[in-house]
Amino acid sequence: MSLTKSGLYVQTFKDIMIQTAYTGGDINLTLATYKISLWDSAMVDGSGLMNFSSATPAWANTNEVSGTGWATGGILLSAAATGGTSATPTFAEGTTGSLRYDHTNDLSVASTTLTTGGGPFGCFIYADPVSSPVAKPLIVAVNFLAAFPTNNGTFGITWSGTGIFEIDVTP
Amino acid sequence: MSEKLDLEKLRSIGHLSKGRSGAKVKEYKDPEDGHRIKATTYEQGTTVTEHNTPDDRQDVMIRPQTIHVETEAKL
Repeated sequence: MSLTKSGLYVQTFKDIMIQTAYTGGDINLTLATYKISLWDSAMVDGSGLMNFSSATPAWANTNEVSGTGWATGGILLSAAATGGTSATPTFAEGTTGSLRYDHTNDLSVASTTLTTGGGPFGCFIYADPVSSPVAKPLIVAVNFLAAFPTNNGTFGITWSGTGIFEIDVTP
Repeated sequence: MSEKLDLEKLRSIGHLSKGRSGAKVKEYKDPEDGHRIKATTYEQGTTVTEHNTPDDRQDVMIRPQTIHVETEAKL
């Protein structure tokens, strides 16, 4: 069965809201020291790393897609845009009344070969420098709805004009 | 000797549903060296660009929709 879900990690956002102290720095969605990693179609909705309600949403290399031009563990956001430049994450009001997480520059990584597990089916953005109480806490998982391998080519993500995610705080 | 990768089979949506998924295909020649390029854009917006080059280059551009987290007001 194909994966169907994208989403945010409940425990991570709870920790942000109650100012949980992290080793490696508190979670700050504007940091470019966070990473984006890829996963394949073997992920399962609601299980393992795709359990958005996990009390310990730690990144792991389960079903990870990596290969030429894309290291295990993923790519630093500071080097994820064209030519190895920064994607520059932002978190601010987007649509009126909503908080928007976005990247100023889209993802573009040249000369990749990404075929393991059928190729990238989705991606995580996670706080790589954090080591405890949750190591490398997951922030968001984005489902591509199908596997899309590259071969000696550019892997890119053009984020929507309304951002990667928006939280409507004024329903 | 390694087998040549079948990128068409790996690309799950393209292999299973090309022609039924509303994919749009554009074929053209590279303006610089003239090699043939086939760009297929699937319904959800992702574009796979296949280059007729010796290394069978294939680029991917994903276009995900924004994840909207909404709350419901109950007054």
